[in-house]
Amino acid sequence: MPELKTCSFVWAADIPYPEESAILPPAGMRHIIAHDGRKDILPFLLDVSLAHHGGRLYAAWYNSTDAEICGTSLIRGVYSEDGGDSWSEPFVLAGSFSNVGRHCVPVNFFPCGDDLYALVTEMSGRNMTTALKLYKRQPGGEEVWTQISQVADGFITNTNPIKMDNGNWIVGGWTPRKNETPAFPVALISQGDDIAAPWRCRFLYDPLNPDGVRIRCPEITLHAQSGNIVAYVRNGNGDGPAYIYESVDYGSSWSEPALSPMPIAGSKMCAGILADGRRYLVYNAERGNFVRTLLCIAVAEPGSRVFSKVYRLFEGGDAALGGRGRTWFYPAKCEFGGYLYIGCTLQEADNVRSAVIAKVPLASL
Amino acid sequence: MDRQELAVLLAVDKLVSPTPSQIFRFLFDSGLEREFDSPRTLSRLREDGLLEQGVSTGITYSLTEGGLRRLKEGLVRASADIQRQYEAAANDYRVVFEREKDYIALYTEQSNGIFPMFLSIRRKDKILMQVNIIVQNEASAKAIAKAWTDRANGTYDAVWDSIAHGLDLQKPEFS
Repeated sequence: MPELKTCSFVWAADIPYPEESAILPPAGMRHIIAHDGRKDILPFLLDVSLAHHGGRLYAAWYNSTDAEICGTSLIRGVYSEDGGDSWSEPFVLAGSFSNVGRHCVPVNFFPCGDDLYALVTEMSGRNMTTALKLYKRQPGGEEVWTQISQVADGFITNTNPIKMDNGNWIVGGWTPRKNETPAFPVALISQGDDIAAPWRCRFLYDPLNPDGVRIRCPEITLHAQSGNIVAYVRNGNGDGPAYIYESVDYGSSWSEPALSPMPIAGSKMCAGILADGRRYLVYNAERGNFVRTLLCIAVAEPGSRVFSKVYRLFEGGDAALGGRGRTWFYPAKCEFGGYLYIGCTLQEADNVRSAVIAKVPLASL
Repeated sequence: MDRQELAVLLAVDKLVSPTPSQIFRFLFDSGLEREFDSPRTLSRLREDGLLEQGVSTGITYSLTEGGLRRLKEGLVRASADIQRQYEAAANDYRVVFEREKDYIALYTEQSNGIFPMFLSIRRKDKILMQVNIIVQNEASAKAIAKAWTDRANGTYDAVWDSIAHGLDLQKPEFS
C-alpha cells in the first residue's frame, strides 16, 4: 500500500474541525420515521434512497426476508404527499417474496425527463453481484415499476446518479471481491439521456496493481460540478480516513488517492450540492470500527468545495422518536420545498431496523 | 519490449478478453514460459496504455491499438516457432476456458472472515445445480474453486444418487 497524502481541500485549513460536543443540530430540524421496522414482518432493512417526484417524497430501501441478503431481498418503498408528515403503505419496487436466492440490493432513484427511474443491483448471494438494472415508474397514481434494461455488470451503487453539464449522468459504483479480484470502485457514465443503454465504466485506479490501494468495501459518493468530479470512497479496511479522488474530465480519468482530513467513519457517505451551490457531505463521525452512532453533515460556502461547518443529524436515543435510537447509518438525501431531507437506517439495540429522515430547513445550514 | 511483456501481450491477443488468472494459467501451466512476476507486467503494460481493463465476472484485459502495434513490432523479432507454440496452446486453452463457463466457482469474503462459495453447473442458460457453502479460509476457497470443473459432475451425480435413491426417478438430462 503506497503512503498517501492528506487531501488539500475538503476541510478548511484555517478552521479547526470542531470537537464532537461543539457539533450542534441544525435549528428547526425534525426527525421522521418513514417506515417503522417494528410494524413490519421483515427484519432486515438497509440502504435508504430518497427522491421527490410528481408531488411525492419517496423513501425506498432493501429488505431481506431472513438475515442480511439471505432468503430473498427486495426493494420496497413508501411515499409521502405532505412533506413527510404521513406515509403510504409499503410497495414493492423490485424483487419478489417468492424468488428465494435472488437479491435486489440496493436501490437509487433519479428523475430523468418527466419520469422517475431507479438503479437496482441484483445479486445471486451476498456480495455476488450479477447486474445493475434500470427500473422506471409507470405513469399514474399506482406505484407500478418496470424493469427497463441492464445498464452495467454487477456494480453496487449507493447514491443517486447526477446529471453532468455535458449531458451525461454519472454515478459511483463498486463491486465486492470475487475470487482473486479485489473489491474496487468505479464511475459509471451514461450515454446522455439514453439511460437505458449501457453505462461506460471508468476505473478510479487499477485494482490489480500489486503496489496499489486495496479497499475492502469501497462505497462511493460523488460531487459533480462542470467537469470536476470529487469522489469520496469509504475506507473499508476499518477505522481509517475516507479516500478522496478527483477527476477534471467528467469522470473519465482520476487522480491518485488522498486521505480525508475529516474524522469520517468507515461507512457509506452521501454527497450533494444544494440548489444554492453549497456542497455538503453526510457521514458517520469516526468513533471506532463499525461504531455508527453519530451521523453528521458538513457544509461548504456557496461555490466552494471546502467544508467549513458541521451539524449533528442523529445521535443516540432520540426524544422526538420516543427515545428510540442507537445506530444511524447509510445516509441518502433529497432537497425540495426549502428543506433538505436526509434519510438513513436506524438500527435499535434489539436490531430492529427502520427508515428514518431528518427534515432540515435549508436556512438553518 | 522484453520477452515477458511480449508473452503477456501475445497471451491477451490469443485468448478472448482473458482474466489475469487465465493469462497466468495459459503462460505458466502450459509450459510456454517460466514463471515471472506477471501481475506487475500486466500493471506496467496497462500504465503504458498497451492494455485496457474491462469488467465481466472479474477484471478482463484486451489490447489497445497501441498494444496491438507493439505486439506486431515484437513479433517481427520473435521466432516463428514461438508464434506456433502460442497458437497451439491457445487452441487448447480456449476450449478449456469455454468449458469452464459451465462450471462456475465464485467466492467472496465477509467482514467476519468467512468465505461464502457459490458453485454451479450450467447447461446453456439453465442452471443444473447450485451449491452454496461456507468455508473458513481463503486457501480452502481457492482449492475448491480450482478443482470445481473436474469435480462438478461427480458432485452432481452424488447429490442426485442421494436425493433420488430408491425413488425410481429419471435423472434430468440437459442438452
